[in-house]
Amino acid sequence: MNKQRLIAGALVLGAFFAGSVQAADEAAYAKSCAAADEARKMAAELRFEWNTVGPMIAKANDAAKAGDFGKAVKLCDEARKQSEASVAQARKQADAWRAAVVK
Amino acid sequence: MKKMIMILVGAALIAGLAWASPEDDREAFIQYYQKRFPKVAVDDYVNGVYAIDEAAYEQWQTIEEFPPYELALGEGKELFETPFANGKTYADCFPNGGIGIRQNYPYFDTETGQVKTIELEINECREKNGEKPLKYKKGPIAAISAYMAYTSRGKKLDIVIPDDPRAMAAYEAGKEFYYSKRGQLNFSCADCHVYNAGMMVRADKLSPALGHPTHFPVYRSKWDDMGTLHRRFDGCNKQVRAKPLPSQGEEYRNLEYFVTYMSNGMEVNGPGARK
Repeated sequence: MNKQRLIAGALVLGAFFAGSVQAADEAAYAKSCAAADEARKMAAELRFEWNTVGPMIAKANDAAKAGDFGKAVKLCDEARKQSEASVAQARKQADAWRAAVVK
Repeated sequence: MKKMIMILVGAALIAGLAWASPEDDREAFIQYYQKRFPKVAVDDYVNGVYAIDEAAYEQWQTIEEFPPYELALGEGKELFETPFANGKTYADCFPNGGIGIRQNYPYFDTETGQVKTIELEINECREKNGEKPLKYKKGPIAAISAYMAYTSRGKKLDIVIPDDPRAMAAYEAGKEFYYSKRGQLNFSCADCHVYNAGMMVRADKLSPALGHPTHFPVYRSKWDDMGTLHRRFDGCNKQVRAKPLPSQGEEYRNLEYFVTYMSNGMEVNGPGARK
């Protein structure tokens, strides 16, 4: 009887921990991909979006759907970094292009 | 006093750069290529990369004996002449019935305050006559545009920038796009087609920008198909890993305005055949 109670308790605890780990991973994915999407939108607004970013975010969403939140976070972090780099590129080029004009 | 003179000289230089007229830009552009390829005559740049690549020029001449764009020309002529459902044709929408007018495109339309390209006006014509617009990069629009270019062969590009600050702003926006580095590879149009024209990118020689727009639309062996200039812009942007902008959107039309102005006075020889 005690043995059965012990097993049932362990199962409940295991399910509880697994659930909270998944919830934490999912939250990390949501946060990382929201940041990536925001940075991508800013780059798109400046008309300087890189074509590597959209597919990366799409892959991240696919990974999340398959339950691989770790992979999704990695992809979205990279997408955010690349978008931030393209925003920096746009801001730099706003003036830098003049120096490149054939004179 | 010395400091004051330096400030004045600096200000004059900056003003000079800021106020370089389109004609100053065009002359500087031509001079650049004359220095870079002293043996190439300016008029030969209408042949694109073949102007600077003798071996490829020979191959191209052979290709031109049975031009791969011939089918598209026939299709374009037929589409151009076929009446819309309301009985009107493309000829009703364009000056001179649409024949021999390619050299005047793109132009700045003071009514709308926008740069108008020939493909944009083909679709405007369709919509005005109750037809659905065509897709901009390839297919029927490339064929119609190819036919219109063909009827204009030998005419010299005559791009006008009217005395209108909006026209100058459109030209400047196109120029800014041309010289701005973009994409993950951080390349501008000028990086490839001005400063590295004639250099190899993998197995291909980079073509000079001078004369680029004279031969569009083109049949590209790589596409096994015809494509408009904006299809090429799209491809170039992808190659530097930038997300392409919409064909016939404001940015690409302004870019076409600048690029075509740089080739002003050169003969239309479209459609062309390219690798």
